[in-house]
Amino acid sequence: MLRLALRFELRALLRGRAGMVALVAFLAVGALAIAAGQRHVSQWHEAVTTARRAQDESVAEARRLFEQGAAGPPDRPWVDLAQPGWQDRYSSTRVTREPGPLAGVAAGAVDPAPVAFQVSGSADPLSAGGHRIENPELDAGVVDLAFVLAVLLPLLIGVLGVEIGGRERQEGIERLVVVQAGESRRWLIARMLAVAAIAAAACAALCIVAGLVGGASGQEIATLVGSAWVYTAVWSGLMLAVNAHAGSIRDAAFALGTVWTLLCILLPTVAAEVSLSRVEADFAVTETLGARTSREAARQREPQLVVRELYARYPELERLPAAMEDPLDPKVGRHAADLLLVDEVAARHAARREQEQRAQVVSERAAWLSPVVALELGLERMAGVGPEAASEYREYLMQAVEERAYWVVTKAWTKAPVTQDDFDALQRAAPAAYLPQRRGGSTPIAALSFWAVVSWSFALLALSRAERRRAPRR
Amino acid sequence: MLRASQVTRRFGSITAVDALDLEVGPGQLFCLLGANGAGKTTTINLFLGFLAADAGTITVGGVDPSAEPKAARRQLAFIPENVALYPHLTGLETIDLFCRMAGVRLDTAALEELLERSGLGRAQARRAVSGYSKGMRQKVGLAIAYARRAAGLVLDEPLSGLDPAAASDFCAELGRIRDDGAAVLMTTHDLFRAKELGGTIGIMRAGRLVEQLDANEIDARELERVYLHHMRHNPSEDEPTGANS
Amino acid sequence: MTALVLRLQLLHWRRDHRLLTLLCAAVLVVLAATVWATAGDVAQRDSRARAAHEAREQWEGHGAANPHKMAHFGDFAFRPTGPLARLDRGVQARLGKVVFIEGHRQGTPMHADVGRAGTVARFVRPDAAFMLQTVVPLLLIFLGAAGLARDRETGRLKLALVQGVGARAILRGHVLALWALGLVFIGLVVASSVVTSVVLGGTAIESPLRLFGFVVTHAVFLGCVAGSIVAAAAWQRSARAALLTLLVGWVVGTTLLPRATATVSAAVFPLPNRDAFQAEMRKSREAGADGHNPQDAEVAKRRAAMMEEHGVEDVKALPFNFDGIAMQVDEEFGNRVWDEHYGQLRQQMMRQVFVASVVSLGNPFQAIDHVSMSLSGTDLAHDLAFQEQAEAYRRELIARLNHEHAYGGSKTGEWSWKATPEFFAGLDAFEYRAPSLREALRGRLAELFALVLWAVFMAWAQRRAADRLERGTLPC
Repeated sequence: MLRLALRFELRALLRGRAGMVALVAFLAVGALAIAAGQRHVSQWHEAVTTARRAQDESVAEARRLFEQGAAGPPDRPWVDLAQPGWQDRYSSTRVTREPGPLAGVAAGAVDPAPVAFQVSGSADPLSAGGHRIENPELDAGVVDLAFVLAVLLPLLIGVLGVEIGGRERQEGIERLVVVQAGESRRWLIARMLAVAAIAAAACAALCIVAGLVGGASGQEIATLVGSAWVYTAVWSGLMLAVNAHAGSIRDAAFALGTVWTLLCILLPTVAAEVSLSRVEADFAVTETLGARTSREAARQREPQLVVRELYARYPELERLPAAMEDPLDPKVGRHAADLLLVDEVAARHAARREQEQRAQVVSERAAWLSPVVALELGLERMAGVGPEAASEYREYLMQAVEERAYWVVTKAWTKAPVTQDDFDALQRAAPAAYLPQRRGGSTPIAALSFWAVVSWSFALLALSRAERRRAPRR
Repeated sequence: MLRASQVTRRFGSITAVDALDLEVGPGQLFCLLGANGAGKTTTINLFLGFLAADAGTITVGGVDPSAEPKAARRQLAFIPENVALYPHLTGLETIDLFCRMAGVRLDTAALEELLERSGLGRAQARRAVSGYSKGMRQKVGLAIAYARRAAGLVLDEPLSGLDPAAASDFCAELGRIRDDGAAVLMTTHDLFRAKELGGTIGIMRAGRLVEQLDANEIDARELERVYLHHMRHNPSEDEPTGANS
Repeated sequence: MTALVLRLQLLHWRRDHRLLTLLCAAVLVVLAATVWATAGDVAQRDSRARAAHEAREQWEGHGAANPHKMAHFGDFAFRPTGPLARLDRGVQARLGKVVFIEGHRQGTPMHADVGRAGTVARFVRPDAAFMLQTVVPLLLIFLGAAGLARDRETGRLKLALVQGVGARAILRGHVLALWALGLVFIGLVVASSVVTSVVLGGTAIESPLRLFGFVVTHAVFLGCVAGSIVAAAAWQRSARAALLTLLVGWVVGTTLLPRATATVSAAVFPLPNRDAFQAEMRKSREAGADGHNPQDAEVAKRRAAMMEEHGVEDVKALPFNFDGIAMQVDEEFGNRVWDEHYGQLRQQMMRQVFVASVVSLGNPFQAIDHVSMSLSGTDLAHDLAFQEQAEAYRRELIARLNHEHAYGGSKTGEWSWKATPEFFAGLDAFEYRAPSLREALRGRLAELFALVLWAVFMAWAQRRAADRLERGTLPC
């Protein structure tokens, strides 16, 4: 029956204008989305390259100065590369974030972190915005593959499958089908499976192209295709559930339109509202006014108090030569406040991360309410972009900043002038480029599978009920 | 093959079919006549297993269609008043589709032969059915019925809306199916065609089979008189006219 | 006759339980969205005022300090919410909310809401404008597509025309019924927003003129929607075809075309990435004056000129503090660099917006979206106005600090010299002035023209459909 239905639907597709136009439009928009995604990835690569070039220039300048035996450039007499603070500045390690092979798939995701960051002992990863300069009027809507799959795929399934059941009932074909096949349920299921197969083939084509263009591995492409297929199953199930009771094509279109509007438009907007309304009254006072106050307070504190606090947190410093001096050399001592300030930045960073994780919980919950959110979340994770990826990258940067600040203080406390060897060692110890983590987070897949099972169970139940209603009744 | 014994079917307070006794054997043709709402389509639905009887027994080849609708339908072919088909398929593809649904696989030559037998030429068979006239669609319906090689054929007002030539062709085909040994039950408003087809004519009124006539033993004028007599009188006055009893 | 058709249509909606339920649900959803958005806006205004007050207290409470130190202590400009943001939040969630005002460098707005709200932040927020521009049109399509088609399918249309009723009057009646429903929704939105704001202690109406513009433009837009629904129903042969045409139009207009526009205009007029932009700025900046570098050629030239002018051999002998002058030289060069780079960036953004404006000529959904954002003060132009005002404030503040540094009483090299707290308290705080309505709408003339054009086109399409119905060249 399935082969029969598949042949039937393929004929309908080839001979019907609406279905073919919808399929071609879907593939064309998908291709456009893949191209837009690739453009996004090449801009990303460009930003990474720019940062690396700046890094190389800075390091080359420092090496030139070392070779010339100069403390610093002639027009900046205050620079002294024998001091850890200046080595830190000249080392200026750019920690980059590499785009994953599927980064273009979710190019429209909100990603508030940069793709390259200059790590130093006094840097604040929270102060860096996203790598894109955004035109807010345009960035609210970018056509990426995630959008094509999440929002347009249901419409494609709708156009291809809206007449299943509705046409049979509206035009009286169903009775003929029932007498010929004994019942109509198997025929309707087979037709919907055939439509799902056509839609799944279209999705797979787009996903494979996107994967190949981005250089994804077979496993990554398979995961992408698998997610798209589960999503296809969700919407074909929903379509079938709607068709089970539709007395006409118009009824089915009305019902599917309502379901699509609810799941693709209204519920995601409600989730966005819940999430955004939690932060809209937050003017980042902690990160701005609070940070400034604590910075000022730290600088105005008595040096002895600062050093005492430093030793309490980092007792190993007390055993280094600088600690033996009384009073402490002011050139060394000024780094103490910096390290304590970095600790505060780290605390603010942790608080922000907590806020972001709380916000992500709303998205994860929304994934259970709307398969669109589930798919977007899943694709963002596969692509290694979005708020979670940004947050993780900033955490990676924060660790690098803390390590660098600690390095500066430790070197200052050893009292020995730092050399080119230290500079080279600092280069070697620089954190590697950040690669997007493959996050386990099973919520999107679980939610999509849940939706697929529920929609098909509901559809089969609805078909059984419809069949029972049409069964010989007294 | 098709048998109804004291079958009654009600819809709320309305009795659509009332103590109906009817039997159509292999190679027999039974035409049910009656006004709109007389219970003809309900009778068809009872045989097809779309409705169950409130009282009495109804069987298709010995099978109760309300209890085992699939088994009953396996023995039947059905042609509705309007043979609605999937518009994007050709006549050939349509008959192939419905044959396969019924588990019958035929090659193209056999399918074309079936369509030709139903009166649809090869060129027409390869055109999309969206461009078919009602008569052509009815012929496709007949071809589907042929392909089933069903023991029983049930037709619900298949002649309505057909022009005289198409109706004549259709009835000729129906006669051949009957002659091949199928039991044919057909509802119609067309007294002339019912008479022409021969077999048994039943007149229904308010759910009751008020008259059974042998089409071969009654002339058209007498049939019309009997029919109008039943249509113009109260149900309580319904008595067989004894026209050819 | 128009009144009769209108009454019959309204009666049909009232008596059809399915439609009535749909209408009631829509009313509740629209009310809930408006009340929620208004409450959020009131809270945001309060929060912004508190933050600005706290920033000012920190500034004034700092005490005596070196003016240049205060230039690095800096100030914060908090982005105000648009005058009608409670009705249309536009792109506010994507905009940075705080700009750090500091010497030597221009601040970029930071801490946008979307960066802190998780994956779902990429979706649109359901405020009153979203409801009026997206949901209400969809509702009108569901209600209206079947209206005229039903009359046609049941033969009532033919009967009415045979009875001598004008087709124009019939079509007008259907349009008015749908439009009236749309106007009811606008009324509900405005009333519920005003009441919510008053109850929560906010201002009833922030800007009456903008509100009037909001109501009028949405009324015109919903008139266009009503007109296009009836026109589609009249031109299409069946209710199904009309519904399908309108739904496709709705999906394309609200979802596909705006995204396609964004993608295309970003490809045609690309913006640089942040790193590249900053690298270019840095490069240009390094080529000019550096106030902190005593060996900087530009600063040295100015220093020599001043020493010559005052006839002194040592910079410390100058009757003022040259460091303040050097800082201002640095500042002015930095400003020129910024103006050049930021100006190019701004121009590119405005080109992108222009593409969207042109596309909106063919898409009333985009036209009303743009006009509504501008009226509400939540579009790019208002954000740029805020950034420009924040930058103007920064320049004024730093110039006054540098002036005090130079002429407040210290001599060159006296970095420990402090200006009085009164001086700092006497400096004006940042105050944002929203662009006037005329300024706000200046960039939206294409969209306003598009709305008028669509209204005229719809009126023409209906007249033509009516004429064809009467002549029998359209099926009735």
